[in-house]
Amino acid sequence: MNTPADLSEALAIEGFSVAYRSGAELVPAVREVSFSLRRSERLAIVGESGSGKTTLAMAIAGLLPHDSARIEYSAARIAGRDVDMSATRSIVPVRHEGISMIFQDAMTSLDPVASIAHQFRTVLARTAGMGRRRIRQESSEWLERVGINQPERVLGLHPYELSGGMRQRVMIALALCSSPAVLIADEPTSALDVIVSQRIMNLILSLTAELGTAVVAITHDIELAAKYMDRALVLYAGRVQDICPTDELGSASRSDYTRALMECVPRLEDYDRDYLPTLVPTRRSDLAS
Amino acid sequence: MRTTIRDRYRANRWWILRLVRLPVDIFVFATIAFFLIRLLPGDPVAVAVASRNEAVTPETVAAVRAQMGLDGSIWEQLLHFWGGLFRGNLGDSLQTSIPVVTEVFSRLPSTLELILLGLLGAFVACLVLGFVYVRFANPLLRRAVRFYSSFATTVPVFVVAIFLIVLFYVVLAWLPAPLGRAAGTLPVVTGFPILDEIITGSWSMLGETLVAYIMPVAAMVITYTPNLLTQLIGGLDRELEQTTTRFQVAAGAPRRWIFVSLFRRSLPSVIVVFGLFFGSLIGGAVTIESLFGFGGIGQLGVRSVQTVDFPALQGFLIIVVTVCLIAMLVVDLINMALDPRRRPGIEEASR
Ligand SMILES: Nc1ncnc2c1ncn2[C@@H]1O[C@H](COP(=O)(O)OP(=O)(O)O)[C@@H](O)[C@H]1O
Ligand SMILES: [Mg+2]
Repeated sequence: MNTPADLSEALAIEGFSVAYRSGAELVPAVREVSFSLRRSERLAIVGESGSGKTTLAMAIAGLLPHDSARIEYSAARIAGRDVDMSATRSIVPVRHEGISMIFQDAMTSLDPVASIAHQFRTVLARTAGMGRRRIRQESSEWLERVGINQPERVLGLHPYELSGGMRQRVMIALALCSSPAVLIADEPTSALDVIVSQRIMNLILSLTAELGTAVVAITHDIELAAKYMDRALVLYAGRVQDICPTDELGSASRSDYTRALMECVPRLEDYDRDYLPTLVPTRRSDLAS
Repeated sequence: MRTTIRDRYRANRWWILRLVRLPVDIFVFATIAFFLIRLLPGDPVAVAVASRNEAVTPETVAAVRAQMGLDGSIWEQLLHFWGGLFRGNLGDSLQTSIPVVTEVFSRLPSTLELILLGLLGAFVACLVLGFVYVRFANPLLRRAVRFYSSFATTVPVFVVAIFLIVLFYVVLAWLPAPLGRAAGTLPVVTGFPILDEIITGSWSMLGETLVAYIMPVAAMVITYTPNLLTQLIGGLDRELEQTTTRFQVAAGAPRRWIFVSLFRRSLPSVIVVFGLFFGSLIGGAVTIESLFGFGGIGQLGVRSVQTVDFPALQGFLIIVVTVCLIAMLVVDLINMALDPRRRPGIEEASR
């Protein structure tokens, strides 16, 4: 199968399943998921807590260790090239080249003991032939690109010396400075307030658009998905319920589950509603008692 | 932006402040030692006088009392003691009439050399095994490393040493009898035996000393590695689970850097335990030293207790505490360099 690499494809998986090992048993968390992404395309993965979003993302990024998970698929490609995505056998996980991932909490993601300059050096040192000065200059340019003033000063600081928003920006710069084919963002804004979260989302989208990086944004916020993403993949119990352009999420042709999920979004006119459409319509007052 | 002296000070304040604290700590502990010694039962003056082959007259008693700094009120004695402390004078040994400072510094270096070799050996072994633990996914290998670490503080070092002597000297006869560092008198320049043998070019003696060190150093490495390893493995397991490690991988950092970061974040507790062992071995190495016929600082402590040589005992305590304080200082400085959050005046942002 030596088909030439499809340069416009950023990521493709087919029949992708993940099961966690629990003793001798395998507990499925992601079942038979397939999707593909073109360069610069934006996909939202939505679903309730526990639906398998993080598991899917970590498996794609190469972060699931072999002794705790089994990964099966019929095809997996990054930037048009076949990639071995079976769970990593090494203790320190091995990245699937071309995929960067960012997490909800930048404070715990950044190295707490290293300066920002050091963390950039770590990532940029891969690029052969880049001297210390070039690395420093490149880092400082990246800090500017994510909207940090006085980048030279910030390079000398440690994560605990930065504000929450700045940490988030540094994390985004670090994840993107290797120009990955795909950026996976696991609940990137759940810990932030609305205003900051909008700014961060816009930042991620404008930078990835410049780089041609495809975005997979994991969120339980279907409104956010509809607002910023091209397509949405709805997961329920590890299975794809729907995959469609975000503006069709509410349309009648979608699955019952997807429409129910859409209806969960609180709206002013529903303020007196006392049930959640995704639950068996039990009265909340009954649940409470 | 011009960096002023003030800025420089601010950037380096963490270690300057820590360094300045050392003499203060030593002063406080020395003063505590002064009072502790005076709480001991028995009259050191009587012992001292009795140990002289002279007729006991009130004059000789008074003279000895004055010579030992034990005349006058306790506050006068304290002032006298402080005066000596600042001049580096801790009095003379009652047993040998040699200044206590001389007695201590003729023995301290050889003990330091032995325990540094043993502990640094254990530290290197711990790093190697820790690297094996995170580098190789082989479950048997990892279980073996973890099993070895579970021997932490179960077997005393002298038991291991005796076992080595029985095996390698008595049974196999591969190593010479545990009868000191080398035959004859060792050259003395700095007091560190190996260093002095190198400086004076006593090569055959150096060979003997190195061979004589094999068993005691091996015993220390075998005994202390599991303790350090327990700390390291705990740190590595914890740090591997951190999002930090995942993010470094997912951002594309090379593996070499990821390992360096993992170890940097895991090492502080290893270094603390290293410092604790170092402190306890200054005096505690005496068991292993006497087993192998080595002289050392611990011997002086034992002798001064047995002979109620109270200036020597006081000097021994002060020096041992000082070395421990210096070890703690080094531990703190290394850990503050490894993890800037440990530097004073840094309040971590809310997590
Ligand atoms: N390390 C793990 N070991 C075993 N089961 C896990 C592990 N992580 C997650 N799971 C299970 O896999 C399912 C999916 O979890 P997750 O991917 O975290 O969902 P989401 O991110 O959508 O909230 C859940 O049922 C969860 O309990
Ligand atoms: Mg999740």
